Amino acid sequence: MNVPASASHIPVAPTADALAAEKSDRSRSSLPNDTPAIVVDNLVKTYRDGWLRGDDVRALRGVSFRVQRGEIFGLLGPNGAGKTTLIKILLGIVKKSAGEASLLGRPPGNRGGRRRVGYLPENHRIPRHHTAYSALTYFGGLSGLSAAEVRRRRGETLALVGLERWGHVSVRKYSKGMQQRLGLAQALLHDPEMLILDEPTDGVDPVGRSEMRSLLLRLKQAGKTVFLNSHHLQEIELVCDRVAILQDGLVRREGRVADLTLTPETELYLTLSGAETAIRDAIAAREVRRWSRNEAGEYVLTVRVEDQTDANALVDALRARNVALVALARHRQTLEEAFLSILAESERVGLADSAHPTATELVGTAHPTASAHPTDAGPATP
Amino acid sequence: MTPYFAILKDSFREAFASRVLWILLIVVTLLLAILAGFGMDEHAGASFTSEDLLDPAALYTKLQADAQASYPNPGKRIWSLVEDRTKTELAQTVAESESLAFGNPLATRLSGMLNRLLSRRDLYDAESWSRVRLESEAAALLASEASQLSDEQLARLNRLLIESAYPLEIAPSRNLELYVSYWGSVLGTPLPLRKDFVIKTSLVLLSNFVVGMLGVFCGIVVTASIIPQTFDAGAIDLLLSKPISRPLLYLTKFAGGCAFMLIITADMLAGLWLVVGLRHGVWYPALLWCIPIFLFVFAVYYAVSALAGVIWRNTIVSIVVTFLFWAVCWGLGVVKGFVIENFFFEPVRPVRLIAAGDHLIAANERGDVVRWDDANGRWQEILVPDEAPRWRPFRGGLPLAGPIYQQDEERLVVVQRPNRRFSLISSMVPLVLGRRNEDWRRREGVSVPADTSVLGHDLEGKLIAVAASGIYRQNTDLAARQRTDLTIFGMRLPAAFNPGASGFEQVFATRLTRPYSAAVNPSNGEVAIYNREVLSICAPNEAGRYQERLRKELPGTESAVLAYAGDTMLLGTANGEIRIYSGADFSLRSIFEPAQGVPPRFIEAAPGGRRFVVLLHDGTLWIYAADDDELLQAPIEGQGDISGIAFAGDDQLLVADRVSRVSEYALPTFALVRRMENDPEWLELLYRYVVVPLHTVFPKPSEISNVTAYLIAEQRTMSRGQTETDLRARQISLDLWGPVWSNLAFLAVVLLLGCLYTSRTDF
Repeated sequence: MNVPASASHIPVAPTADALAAEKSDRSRSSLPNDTPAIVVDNLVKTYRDGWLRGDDVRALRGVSFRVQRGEIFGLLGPNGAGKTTLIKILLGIVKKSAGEASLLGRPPGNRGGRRRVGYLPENHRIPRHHTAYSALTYFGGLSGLSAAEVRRRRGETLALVGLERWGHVSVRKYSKGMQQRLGLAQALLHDPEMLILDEPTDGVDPVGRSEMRSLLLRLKQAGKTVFLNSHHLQEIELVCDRVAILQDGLVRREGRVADLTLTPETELYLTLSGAETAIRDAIAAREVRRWSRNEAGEYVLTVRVEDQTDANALVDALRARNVALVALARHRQTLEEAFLSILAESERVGLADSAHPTATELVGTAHPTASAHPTDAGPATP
Repeated sequence: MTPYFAILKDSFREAFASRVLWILLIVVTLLLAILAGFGMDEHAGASFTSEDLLDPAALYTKLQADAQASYPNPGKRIWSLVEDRTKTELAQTVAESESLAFGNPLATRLSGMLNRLLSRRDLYDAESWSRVRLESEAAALLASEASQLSDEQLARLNRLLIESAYPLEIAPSRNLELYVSYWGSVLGTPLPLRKDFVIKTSLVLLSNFVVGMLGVFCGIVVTASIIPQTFDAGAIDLLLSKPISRPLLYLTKFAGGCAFMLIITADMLAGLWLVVGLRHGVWYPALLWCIPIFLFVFAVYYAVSALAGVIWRNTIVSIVVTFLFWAVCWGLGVVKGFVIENFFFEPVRPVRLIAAGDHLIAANERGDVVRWDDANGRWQEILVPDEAPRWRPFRGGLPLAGPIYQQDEERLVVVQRPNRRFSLISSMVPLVLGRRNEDWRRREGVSVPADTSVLGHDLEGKLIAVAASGIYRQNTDLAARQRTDLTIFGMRLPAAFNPGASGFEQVFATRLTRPYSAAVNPSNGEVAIYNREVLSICAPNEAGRYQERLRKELPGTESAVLAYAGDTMLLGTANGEIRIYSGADFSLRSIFEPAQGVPPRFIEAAPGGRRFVVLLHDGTLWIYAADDDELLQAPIEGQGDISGIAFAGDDQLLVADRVSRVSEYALPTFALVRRMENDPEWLELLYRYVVVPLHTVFPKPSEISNVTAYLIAEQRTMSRGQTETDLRARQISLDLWGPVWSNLAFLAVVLLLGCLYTSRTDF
């Protein structure tokens, strides 16, 4: 994707007209600007299925969370967790069975709310008789844009998703990734206040995914709220401010990515300079997982600590024995590791339905595994 | 409205992106190009058809006899111009015809022979035609030099010369006949039809078949995928995330599907309008009106397709459900109209009613004569023929004339249709008689001309028969049939071959062309005749012969029915007008048009001529009171379903309705005196309580063709199986508004169901 150099020239920055319309819209609904973009409170959805609709399938079993304006929120969960159902309820495509929900301060499905949302569904289908331009004219018209407005915006919107040279080409000739980009373009065309993206990088190549991440970050800078539903955990980890993990219709964990990946029991990566006996004395009974020396003659260690207090105590012990801390880094879980451990923990406590596949199976087969890596690396200051 | 306009616009874009649309447009254009080749030219009527030869055997015999005569005569002249080869062929045909039971090859060969004479400039010979009375048109043509006449004028002259020479054997020619050509080449023989009629009828058939059936069929198949694709997962999520209403999305997509049909229909009908206008010089704006009508028909089917599409989201299921729906609608219409009504009810409905003393007699559509049996409370067949066909619906048909009741003799007289197979062999048929004291047993009497259409009595009580060749009066006892059995190869010939001696003498010679109409005035024995745009009254003189007393030309009126009693005559025309004339001088008293465009089937007069009743083809009954000069709808039960009417006296009216019900009313109050009806059988109960309610509730998309027929051809009724325009033949009244309302109601309900489903479903 060719991302323009200046964010002020792309449609993610609301035009004066759009701002005026939004202001008018807000004044009508008397919504304060700090109203959460999404509020979901004890949301329940039960589908009727089977012969004579006699069977109940509980897709959501009391989901609650909030998405603040201007943040990028990621929704994670295995297949069948209820993620798409949740999005459909917010947009009014599916009706809730119980609980409360609101989108931009309006009830789910409210037409005013939908006007200010751009949605990219999973496995969406653009009618095959369209070109990119005619598709944008069509979907822009559905969003209430005039033909002249669409003509004015479509070029720069297609440029934003990297399809600027494909405007007159029939979508029949588009690859999966190109269709995905066009889907994103239609979601952006009417300059929505909020974007709901369901698997936006599905079928997109690695370069395109990287461009997509950049775009999402710039949308956030432009004040847009992004609700992201993706199986690419690395992507979520890189762009999302907060995430919620949904399993079997329940939110298992919600919070900042950093909080979810941070666990109390962890390992310290240490590069130390000093006497070996002093070092061994300071480590005492703690488990040492690696012991080696580098070319500079410094000791390189991996030590397991119980928690932050234990880590502090180790650092104090080393300093007390005049051991210099050349480098110190703390190992964090990847989001994938956190995700899998949260799901596994849920299964252990028996909350998960035994009929569902395990989280390990789901994630392990469907998605690339992010490699464990140290974060916050850098020289530690005593 | 921007979102919905965008959906609608997208539907057109989708339609134009469809290859099927372009293929259909090319097919339509090719069809129009093919149709553009047809041309029609009206010429003065000249050519002979086999139907023109009323009695080919007699004509052949006369021609041969005349050829042998020693004096000059038209037959001699004609025969002298016939090639020997043709003469041999004719002789061969006559020799073979004795063994032929079907068809009439003699008529075909004779008409071919006469047609070849039409182009001869030397046919006329003053001496040969010196004893023949020529019509003014022929005289005018003869006044010109033969070499100066155009081919068309020459053919017309020769036709007039030949038909004037044999007025009883050859029917008068029509003033105009139609030649159909294709890019200049004339196709077949000329048609005895008007150009306007042919064009309109062709347009009705073409538009109903090509657009109303094939177009709708293609439209359903092509558009069936629109709704399932719209509501398919992946597409509907995207649409419903936009700020649009679900029902309006559904309705707009439905309207968008109709866009496809609009393009096809508009192409076909506007093209047809242009082709007919440019090629034939007549412009029918009604064709353009048919565009929304066919679109409406499509919308009814497409509403079903759309509902199935949104529920099952599967194109194949949509198509199957739509065609099942079509089959049910069509099946219901066929069961009601074609099977039950046409085959079981209509043939037995009383059509002609006669009060025979205290007995009530009726003739029904298939030709049975029945009597009301008070003791058993049902209709009982009388005058039963010996060889009645087993499959009753196809028996003969309505009697040619009668029955009428002779009070003095307590006798019924009726002219029944001869068996079709032998109808062309003899020009006479025996009267069928039945006496009350013989319990109405069938007897055959003297013969009358086979084309007798009206029976009546003169002032002396003698039977008067009006046939195509003139007026005949009874000159002997009707029952005095003297017949000797004829045998051929030792086998007795059927009765139809051996009509017996005629008991009638011709008292007025004329040449009437079907569909002529006549009535005998019971007050004075005068006979009123309507024939070929001429209305006339023939009055008897002291010698008992008839003379034309009054004559009035009524140009532009093709066919009519009339009644004449007292000094009042009612003439009902094919365009639905009822004209009231004075029998004294043909002064026009009034003109009524009771139901616009609906022609009358029967007009009956009370014996004194003070009252008349008019039965229209839509089954409504109107009464005319001569004193008030008013035509009013009769305040009786069964209006719209009446099949027969008759006066049982000046103040008693008999009315037949339903399947077998006859009611007697006292006039002028219309108080019900008595009612006669068979106990309903299971079929009638099924019809009344199941088929009719279902048919009423169900939509009738195919019956919208009634509206197009009305718009294009101004047709309010449709004859069933009749080629001639005889108003007395049964016609079906075309219901214009019933199908429109029922289809509209159905469309609204189905669309509403679709809207409810879309608004309540989780997609």
